[in-house]
Amino acid sequence: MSTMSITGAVTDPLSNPAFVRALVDVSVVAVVAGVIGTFIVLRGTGFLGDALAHAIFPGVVVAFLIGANLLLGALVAGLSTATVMALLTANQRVRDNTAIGVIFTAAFALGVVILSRNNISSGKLEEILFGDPLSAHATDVVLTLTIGLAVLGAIAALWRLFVMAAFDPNGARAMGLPVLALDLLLLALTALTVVVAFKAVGDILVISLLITPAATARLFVDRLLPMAALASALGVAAGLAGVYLGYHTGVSAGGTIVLISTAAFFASWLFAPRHGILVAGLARRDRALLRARPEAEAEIILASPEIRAPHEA
Amino acid sequence: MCADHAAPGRAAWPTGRPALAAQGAPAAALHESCLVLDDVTVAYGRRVILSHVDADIPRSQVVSIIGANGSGKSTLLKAIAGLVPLAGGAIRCFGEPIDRMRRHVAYVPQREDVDWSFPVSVRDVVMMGRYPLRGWLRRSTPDDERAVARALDDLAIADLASKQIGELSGGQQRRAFIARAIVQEPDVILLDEPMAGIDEQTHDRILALFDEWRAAGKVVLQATHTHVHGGSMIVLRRRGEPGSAEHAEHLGAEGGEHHEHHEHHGRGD
Repeated sequence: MSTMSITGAVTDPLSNPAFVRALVDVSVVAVVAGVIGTFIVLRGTGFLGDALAHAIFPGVVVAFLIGANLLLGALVAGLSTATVMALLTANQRVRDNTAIGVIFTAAFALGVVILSRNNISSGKLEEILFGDPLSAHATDVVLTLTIGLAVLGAIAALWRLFVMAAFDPNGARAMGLPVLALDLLLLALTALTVVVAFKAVGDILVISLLITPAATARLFVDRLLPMAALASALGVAAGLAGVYLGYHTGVSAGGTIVLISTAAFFASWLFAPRHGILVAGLARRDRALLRARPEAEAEIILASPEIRAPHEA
Repeated sequence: MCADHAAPGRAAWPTGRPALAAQGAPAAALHESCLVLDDVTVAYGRRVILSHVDADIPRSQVVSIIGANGSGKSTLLKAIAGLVPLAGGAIRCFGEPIDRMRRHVAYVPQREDVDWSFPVSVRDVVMMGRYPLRGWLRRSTPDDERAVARALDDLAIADLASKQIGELSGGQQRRAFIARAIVQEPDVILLDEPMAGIDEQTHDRILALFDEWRAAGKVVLQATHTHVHGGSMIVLRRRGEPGSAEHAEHLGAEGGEHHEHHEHHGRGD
């Protein structure tokens, strides 16, 4: 492929408004998901995000059937399920995975049942489940931008409190920080992120956008702000690549975004400079070689009589 | 620099019906209560861990909470720190319900309770102790920076301030958390097994700090296996386990001149 056609492949679609909308939508979503995902990964509450994503399904289906904006349907469903979950788990059991699993699969099943009683095209169903950023309307982009900025604003305003609650929840509560309230707020922000992300990658794949870039970033950096920034950047890169590939080849953009993120995660898992397993493995081998070296600089020069070398026993 | 005890620490755990522990003490006039546990009961579900605990602790006390594993040492500290709800009774700090006094209470968790791989620097961790001081949403001031720098210096971890918290040794990590407690400027300091898994330097520094805190009029409660010389103590035992009283006598004989013998019963319902 010549340089001209590569440039063309990048620039030509930009004259298509739907394509530009998709790029903007996916980028905003990736930035927000990277930041929220950082906290989700650090608190180990990924399952909760996944559950939320499934729970918005009936909302989206109902919105579609009554001809409302899908994002609005997701918003209503996401926030109300987050509230129900907050009430259910208020008794210091926010991570009660069993209860969450029961409730959220039930919500998903409700969506399936509603669907089965109504006619919905398989194309539309695919869009709901697996996303289609190229079909984003102007309203969708405006909603995504508004909600995304609100989420980022809330995180920025309470940044250090979220950090403190995530790092040492007990110490934070002992100092009087309202950790439960912060947990619930993070839950609501996660719900909002899932809502705006579902258009880009679909209901089933949302969790990947939240968790995978943040998990990848964690392999590279030891500070929170760089981790969130890197997660966002990785998400945007995967998102742009996915939208372009989807546009040119007709494969699912949502699925491609997830696959690219996942490939980046596994590559980092292997090759990341400090925390990748290959590097960690090499370090282990070096230590083993060191141990095998016969001439050491220090040795035991004095031991009480009851201490003997193993071979003397 | 051990402050002389005008009023020795009292922590009586009646065996029978809870008596009003603090009443009738001759030194009552001199006895400024800092921390009062009034008929405290803690339960996880239907399992009662501590019941009818009474203690009235004045200022300038280093109290060792001693007992076998599972006797409720951590639970007692967590109850005071507000981390486990009370099933009964009340905890007061300077006469106020302790929930309103949280920022005056510092808590140094057990090593196992912290995620050491979390991406924060040592300085970040210590700075967290300043957050509650003048409002959660306030930005850090030069005052805060100075307090943090002083505490880092004081605990000999200033050169490690930019490191990720997990890169430190166990003893250095403990010192970082104690620095966080110091910058909080608390009146009550709760430490869960502060001496577990640390080096000699840290051990000695913590003991010296206990003396400084006592001289400054603070109350220190530590869950521990080793009683601090010159401090008072609370001994816990699991219900029905024999031998704790002798254990306490034994500790007392070694322990020091100031502590009182405390009756002790972690009674189940």
